[in-house]
Amino acid sequence: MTDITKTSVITPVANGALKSSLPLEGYLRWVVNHRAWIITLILALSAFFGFFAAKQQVIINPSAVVPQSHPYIKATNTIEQIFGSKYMVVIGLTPTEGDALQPHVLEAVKRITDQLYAAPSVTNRTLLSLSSRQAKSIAGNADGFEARPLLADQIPDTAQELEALKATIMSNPIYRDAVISRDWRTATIMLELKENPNGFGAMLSEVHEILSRENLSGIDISLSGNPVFLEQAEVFADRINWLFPIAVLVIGLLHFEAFRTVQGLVLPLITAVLSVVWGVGIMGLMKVPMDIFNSPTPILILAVAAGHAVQLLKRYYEHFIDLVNVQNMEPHAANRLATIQSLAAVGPVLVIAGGIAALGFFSLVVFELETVRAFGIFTGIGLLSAVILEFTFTPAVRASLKPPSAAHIDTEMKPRIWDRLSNTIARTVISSISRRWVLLFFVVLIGVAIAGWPKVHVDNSSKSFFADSLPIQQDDNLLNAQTGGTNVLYIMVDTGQPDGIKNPQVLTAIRTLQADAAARTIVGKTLSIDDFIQRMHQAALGDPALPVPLPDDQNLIAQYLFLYSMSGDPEDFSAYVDYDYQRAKISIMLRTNSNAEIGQLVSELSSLAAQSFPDHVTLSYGGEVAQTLAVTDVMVHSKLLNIGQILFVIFLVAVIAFHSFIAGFLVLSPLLVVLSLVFGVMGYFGVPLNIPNSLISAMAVGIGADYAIYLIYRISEYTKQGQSLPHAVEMAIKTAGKACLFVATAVAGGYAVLMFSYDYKVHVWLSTFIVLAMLTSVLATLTLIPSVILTFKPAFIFRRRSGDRGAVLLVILASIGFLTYSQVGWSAEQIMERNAAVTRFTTSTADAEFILQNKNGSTRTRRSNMSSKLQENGQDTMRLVRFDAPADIRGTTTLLIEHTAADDDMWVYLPAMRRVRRLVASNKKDSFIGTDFSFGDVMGHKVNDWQHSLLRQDVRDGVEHYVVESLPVDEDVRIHSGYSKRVTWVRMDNFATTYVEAFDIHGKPYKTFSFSDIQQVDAENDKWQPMRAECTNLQSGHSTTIHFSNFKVGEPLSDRLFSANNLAIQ
Amino acid sequence: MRGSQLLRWVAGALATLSLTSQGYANLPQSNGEITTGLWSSNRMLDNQHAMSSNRLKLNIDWQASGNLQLRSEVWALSSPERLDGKREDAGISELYIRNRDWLCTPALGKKQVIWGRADGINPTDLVSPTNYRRLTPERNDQRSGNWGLHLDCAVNQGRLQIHALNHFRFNDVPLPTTTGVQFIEEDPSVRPTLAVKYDVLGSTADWSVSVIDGHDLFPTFALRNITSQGITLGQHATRMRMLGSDLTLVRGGLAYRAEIAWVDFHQASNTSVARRRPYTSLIAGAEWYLGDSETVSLQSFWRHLKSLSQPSSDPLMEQIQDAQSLVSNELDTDQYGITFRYAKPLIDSKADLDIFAVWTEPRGDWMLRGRLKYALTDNFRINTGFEFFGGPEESYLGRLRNNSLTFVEASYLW
Repeated sequence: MTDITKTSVITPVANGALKSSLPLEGYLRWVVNHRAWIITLILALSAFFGFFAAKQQVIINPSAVVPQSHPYIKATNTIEQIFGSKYMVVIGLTPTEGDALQPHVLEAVKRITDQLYAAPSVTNRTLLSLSSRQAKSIAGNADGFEARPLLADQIPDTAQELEALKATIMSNPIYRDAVISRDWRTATIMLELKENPNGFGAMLSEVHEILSRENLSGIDISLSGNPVFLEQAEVFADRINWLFPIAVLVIGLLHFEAFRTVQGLVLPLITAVLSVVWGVGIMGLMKVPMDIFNSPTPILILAVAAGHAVQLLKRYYEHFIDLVNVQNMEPHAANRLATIQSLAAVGPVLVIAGGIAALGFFSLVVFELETVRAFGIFTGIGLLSAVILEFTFTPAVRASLKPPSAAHIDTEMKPRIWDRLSNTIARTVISSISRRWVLLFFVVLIGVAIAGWPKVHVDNSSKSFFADSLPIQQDDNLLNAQTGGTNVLYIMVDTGQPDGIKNPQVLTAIRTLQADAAARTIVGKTLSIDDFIQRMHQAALGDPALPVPLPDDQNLIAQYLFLYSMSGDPEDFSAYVDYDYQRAKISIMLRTNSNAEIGQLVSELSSLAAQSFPDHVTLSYGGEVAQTLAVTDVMVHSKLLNIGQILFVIFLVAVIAFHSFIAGFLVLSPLLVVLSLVFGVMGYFGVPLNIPNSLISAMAVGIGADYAIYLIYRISEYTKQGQSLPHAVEMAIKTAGKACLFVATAVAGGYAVLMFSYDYKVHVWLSTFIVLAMLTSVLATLTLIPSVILTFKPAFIFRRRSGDRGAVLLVILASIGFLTYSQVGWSAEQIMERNAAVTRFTTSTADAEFILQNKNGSTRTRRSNMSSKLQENGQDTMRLVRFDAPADIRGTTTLLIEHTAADDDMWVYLPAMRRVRRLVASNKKDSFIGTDFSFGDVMGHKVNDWQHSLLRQDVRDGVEHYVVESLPVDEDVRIHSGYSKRVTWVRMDNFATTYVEAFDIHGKPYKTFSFSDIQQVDAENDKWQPMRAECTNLQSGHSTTIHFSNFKVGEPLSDRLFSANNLAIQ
Repeated sequence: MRGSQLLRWVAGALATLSLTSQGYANLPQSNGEITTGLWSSNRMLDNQHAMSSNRLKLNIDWQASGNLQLRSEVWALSSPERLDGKREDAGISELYIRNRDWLCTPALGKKQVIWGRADGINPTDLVSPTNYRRLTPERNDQRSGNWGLHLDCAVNQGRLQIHALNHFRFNDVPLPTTTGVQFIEEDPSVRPTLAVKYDVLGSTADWSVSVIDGHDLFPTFALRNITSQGITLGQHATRMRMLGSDLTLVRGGLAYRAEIAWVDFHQASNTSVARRRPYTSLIAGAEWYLGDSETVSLQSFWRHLKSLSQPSSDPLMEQIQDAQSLVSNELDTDQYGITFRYAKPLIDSKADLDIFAVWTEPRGDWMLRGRLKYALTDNFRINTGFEFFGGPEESYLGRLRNNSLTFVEASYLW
């Protein structure tokens, strides 16, 4: 044993006295000399990022997990806009004894229905139950028929009344399997939820509250639907809060086993934890929430960062031992020098390996799904943070700690399982016979794995994320058995003209489509306006024993609908047909959410529809199941693209680093083994390829690529030192290879922790495949690569390595490239910030003419002069408007002073009163001087008050636009602005707004804004202004058009102009 | 102001404008309003019913140069508001020149000075007189300006207004015809009035402090003559000093308004002049904004009178004193009550509805006023409304019962 304390000390090298021409060593020396500052700075930055990381929570923003440009998604959004249908939830009430037509069950249905009507998160017009407003029986009478509520206000409680109710439902078959099961056992309430950017937990909170208030003994309540599953996914994803500390513990224990020292346990872990804090903190800083798909990011960053730290620490010990034992250096000096030398040696490799891992994740920006892009970017940022910390924090701390003692060194040098394992592997590959078997084994393995690829099926149904034993699965099974189904496919029929749906040919086609769908076992129920018209026809004929076909008479159909309106409410059909009878919605309730089965259904219905409907009629498919199909469509294509990208990037970096194409292929080889195995296992074991699993290949490749880099680098180093190739391979496996084994087991151990989340298959799949990928990757690297090198002896191994700088440069440039691409195509908030900035002028003056037109066409004109000035904070504006016409308001002046952190100030000067009056300005929804523009519309809606999502890119009037959806961040913003949603078309070339759709606080279409004649008013600062702005109030039919003229920007305007004290004297 | 004085003023103003405009003058801008209407009653406390009222108002605004401005508002009418029974009358509401470039933005001429932030009742608004007899729906059209020098100076965060007013005019108050009583309207020649106000429109609140050293706008009855046929009453201008303040705060969706005035009178030494009771008047309340531009305002007010010393022992003077108290609302030592206003724009803001009510205790007298303005076009407007007064005869508002009325008017504006 070497007793380093008795080692004679040679002249210690003064701090920073060593001269070197390598800039990296110079930088590291500077870090070591200023380690206290470095540590303080890193900890301060970590605290800053930690503040934002702590605010993160797991939510699913529905619009972030679907590809917005897909036809199914566009159709779903349109259907939601017109019919309010998107997120269906089914509530079932099943009495423990008897059927659902019992007074206490009916009362419960009525009570729950009434409370759901009052819940803001529920779309009222699609709410369907026995007691809902639109549930009406159509019964024949002397005048034809009349519509009566299915369930009267007075709940029937006698046997006679209940029988009468049963008879009514039987004569109105629309409602069987819709509001009551075929066997009468379960009463159903079907509701649609409004979208909420705070996730499905927020969407369902009111429903849960209503149901929890029902203390119903003798009635089982079931709740299901896709939102219920996604809400559960949010809950389960939150498990990361306790899984992460366990992962840290496991990784720590593995490190301790590897190093058997406290330093070996603590230092890599601290670096890894800080990397996680930085990565998640940056997510929080940029207001990107964590969702179920990027919630495992912390464990991923932790594992990879710890792996790099292990490599570094291993190298440090090697250098330290050499300096102390061989060069007899004093331990403190050796500590610092070893810190510098180890990082100088490993640094380029660390950057390349870490950079490759980051690039693998950055490549996910090509996905159309925002959630996948967000995962890729932030995992990449987390991994780059790890690299930065390895170059700053790690050497600073390492140099600050005491040098390892002799006991530490002895422990480090003592052979353990890792040494035995790496020795075995080294012996295996060095032997030419066993090498061949290794190569043959991998060829066979890849062959078998690839044979399983065709069996891979893509399925994004959220139901498959959960174990069958969970209550939500049992509820879903019950409701699928008892009712029409908990999944729904919407088909929108667009005739392109008002009253088009009343066309008998169209109705016949709808009926044909429904009949075809209903004949399938997966379809539980279909609903459309045709069902109601058919019922009207039968009731008008006195309910003949055999149904009489509806004549091809559009007038008759129109008369039936008119007759219905005499006793029923025309709004009863608003869930099935739009106001003009131009578009109709067919609801197909499904007992399955299998992508394959639904995809086949859609395909066959499309073929049938093409034959049945007139040419001018278009059909589109939407709803949650269609959304899932869209995700599936997109994912397959994007996945293949992504794999190709990652492999290409890795190949390119390796080629540049080693100046050899063979090196590039060598680096790819273990990854190809991993990829083939991962997809093969998916195929053989029936694991679906879905959003969470699709990320596994990116993760596996990203993490596994650096093993090959480290190993090849080490082999190359040893050969340069004059070692023979076999000996170089052996040494490399025993050093870098051993470190790779640590890292792989640590990563596998960290992810194995997710197995604790056994009833959430997403976590189980993730842990299984990552463990598989890590072990395969490291074993393939340590066997396949050396085998190939020893067999084929590629020339690059013996050449002097000169491609480090090029490789590092490529990594940096590629990272910047991906980040830039992701910025342009990804952040809706940044788009809206730029949009706000484009019309934010330091000063402006203009004449404005307001033309107010009511629905009858009569107009009023108001002329004014407007001035604005940006306040010193660069955000808030002061705006002065003085009216010149008409005569009754001439001289009236309003002054509005914006305050970001407080209520705005507003005054009005009324010349007739000769006084300045302060008004309340907090309600931005109030009409601006009687126009259709609100104060908020005129002053501009603050970007931070809204949660923005980039829906898609669109061409409008021949110009490319971003289409951004903005939802209020909280209830206050919704109430004060008067809008529950805004959809903005922003020009991609100049970020000016051209069109906005605004929805009122109840989610109904409210206003549209058109901006035209957009002129550049300040070329130097790239400012644009529409000279014409039109607002149409869709609910009142009123419109306001503003024409601007004499628009000047940047001219000096005194603050006195915007002083309320001067209003009266101007 | 007498006619000769007016002529001299106009000549001087024109000369000033000519010298200073130096060819930079813009053309004068004019706008006006011509109104004709039918009223169910006048405001004279007589029993006249169903009369017409026709008014013409003309504003001229002349930007003589970059900073020099001439403003005028003149009116003419044919309406029953004069005590002499004549219907026709004309006058100047405002006529002044103003220079915005000089320190303190001086304005010379006749200018309205309207103060107070409370709604409907403004205890500090005691500078410019009001013709309560004028038949017009708008309270503002009943006001007229004060001749003098008006300064408006920027001081720190606010503005300091200083008005030196050299011509005094009383409010024109409705007086019932009483047998044996003749009333002479006379605008006395009194010392100038000085009115000063510091007004701040700040970032969190608007407030002001004001002081007036002048004369009370409500005439004080003075016994001028006693004959066998009756008495003649004239108007005496009672010296008055006021210290007042007002405030507006906006918090969330509410605007809070308050106003207070302490008024002290210098009693006339002549025993044939009625006595006036100094008072403190306070009003405060809140304004709610409901929906889109709909507002509701609720205020409570309190007026406390100081006791008079040495009440007159002359029975005639006692009666005059009682009449005075009724006219100038000096009946009860403590008077309190509430005001209510509801305002809402209608028909896409083409119409405005306004309802204002006052209830007063301890006498229970009240007033209810409603207005509906409808703009047929940008130039034509229809105005209709009502005013009802109620309560005991011997109360400030109750005595105006005969002035309860309804009306409809049509106006053309240009």
